[in-house]
Amino acid sequence: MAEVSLLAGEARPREGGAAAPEPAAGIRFEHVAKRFGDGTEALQAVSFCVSEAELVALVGPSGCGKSTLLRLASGLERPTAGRVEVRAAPVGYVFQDATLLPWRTVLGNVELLGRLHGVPKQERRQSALAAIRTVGLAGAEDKYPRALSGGMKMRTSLARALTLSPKVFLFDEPFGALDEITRQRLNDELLQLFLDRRFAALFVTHSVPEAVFLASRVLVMSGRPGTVIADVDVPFGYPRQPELRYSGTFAAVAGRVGAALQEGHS
Amino acid sequence: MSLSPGRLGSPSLGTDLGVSVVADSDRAPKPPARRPSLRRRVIPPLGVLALVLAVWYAVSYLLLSPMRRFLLPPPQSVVSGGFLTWSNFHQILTSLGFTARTAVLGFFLAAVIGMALAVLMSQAKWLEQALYPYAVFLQTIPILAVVPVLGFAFGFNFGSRVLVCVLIALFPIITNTLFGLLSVDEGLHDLFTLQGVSRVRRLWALQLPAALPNIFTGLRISAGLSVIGAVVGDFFFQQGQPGLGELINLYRAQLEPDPLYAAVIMASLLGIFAFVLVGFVSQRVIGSWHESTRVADRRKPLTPLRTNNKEK
Repeated sequence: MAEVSLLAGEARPREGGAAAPEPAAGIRFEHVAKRFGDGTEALQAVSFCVSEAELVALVGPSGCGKSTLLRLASGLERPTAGRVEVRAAPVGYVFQDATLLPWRTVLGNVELLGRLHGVPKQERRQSALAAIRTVGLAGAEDKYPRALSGGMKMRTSLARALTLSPKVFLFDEPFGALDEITRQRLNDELLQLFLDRRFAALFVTHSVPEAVFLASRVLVMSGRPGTVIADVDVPFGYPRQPELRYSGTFAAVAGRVGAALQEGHS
Repeated sequence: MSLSPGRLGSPSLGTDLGVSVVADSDRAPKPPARRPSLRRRVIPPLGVLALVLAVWYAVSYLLLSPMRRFLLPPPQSVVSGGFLTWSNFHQILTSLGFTARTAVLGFFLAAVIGMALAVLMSQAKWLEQALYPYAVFLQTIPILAVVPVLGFAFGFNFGSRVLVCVLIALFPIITNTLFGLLSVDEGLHDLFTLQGVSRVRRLWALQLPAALPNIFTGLRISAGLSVIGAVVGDFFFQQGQPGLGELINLYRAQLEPDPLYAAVIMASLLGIFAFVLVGFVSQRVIGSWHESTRVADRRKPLTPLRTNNKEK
């Protein structure tokens, strides 16, 4: 039977200071399969686990169901079989596109989730401004999305997800459309954010170096119907220096991930 | 938080070569091009006006014999007989006022009804399927054939004239609003779904604002159409205060071409004014964020400088 559970209940903003003891954050997939209405087998027998304060990357060929997997984790889709378990709502979801409202400024966009959840104005404004500072967008609060570069749009999107202080983050190739240098810089900053906030994160990407640089484990998926065919450990601790990308060990790990990708493709 | 605020805005140029390249690649898009100068916007239409006047004179003086010149009197005759003869012009202005009142009320009703219907249709597929054929039907009925009949049902006065306006102006508002409401980006829908928002909240906070550019497109078309509707209504429903259509009919019957053409010109100006006014309001409401309001001429080839910008 298909089951989805958000153990901490529906997505809800934080309430005051009276916080109940929070359950350990994490994502668990058990034998998950997804078939769409048109008969497409997107995923099959997917099992993995992301524990608290762990950043796991997921790589795979195009169309292998990576995005579907995230949609299952977020509750946007339900599995046809198996069990999806996400502890600790709300879940932060950073989409492939920045998905900003063009008629709202940076500040208005970052405030959106608080507004939708009925957070009092004062409070949501403060958390929005803090999030904007965190992603390095201070000074751009009043700009409309059309005046932003791709990198700034993604920062805004990230800031928006941060306002609900999620314990679980889902990233769907958020930096895929950016040029290499902007992407590397955002990777560095994301890691810093991860170290500060210690959320559990599942990071979907096309890029093997990005996956290895960010994650403590890299899951490799096969082509459709997608399933996890390798779970590569990344032997680096945090914090990681940008120069790590050019070390020999880094190349070796990336090579292992690349080999697994090749295998799943043939 | 240690994500070095301000790093984006003030790249440390010169620390090494790589960094200055970084700053370029993550730079915001260029501000929109300046609006073309007043002279460049005004001269081309004035040129066309001169051309039209030249053709008008040619037809009047070269094509028509003096006996038949009343079919198209030359411009200066229309100006003196229509605009500068106060008794005529006063009559035209008064009628223009009545016609404008009809058009404004009809436009307002069409806007409210049209948007309400579009919102209804956007909420359920079966509602769209049930209502849309009739919206199309409304558009395709030969309105001139139906208008006389309306008089029998609703009387030959103000109410019927407004009704004609509504019938003519409704369709563009329905279709454009509905198109806008239904073409909201899927990603934005997902974002709202994840927050568990209600249907009403989604409509109010996402779909309606996203549809505003389309709604204004519909309103702009309908503003011109409702002026046409008001004039057409005048032709058929002649009880109550006389509108422009009725006056045009009268001048035609009395063989008074000068005020006739003056009245026609005033009716057109009313339509243009309605069109421009809605455009102005649209610019005020969505100009700050909507792309189409940016003055960038896409008919010119892009310069290599712009194609360097790899970011979307």
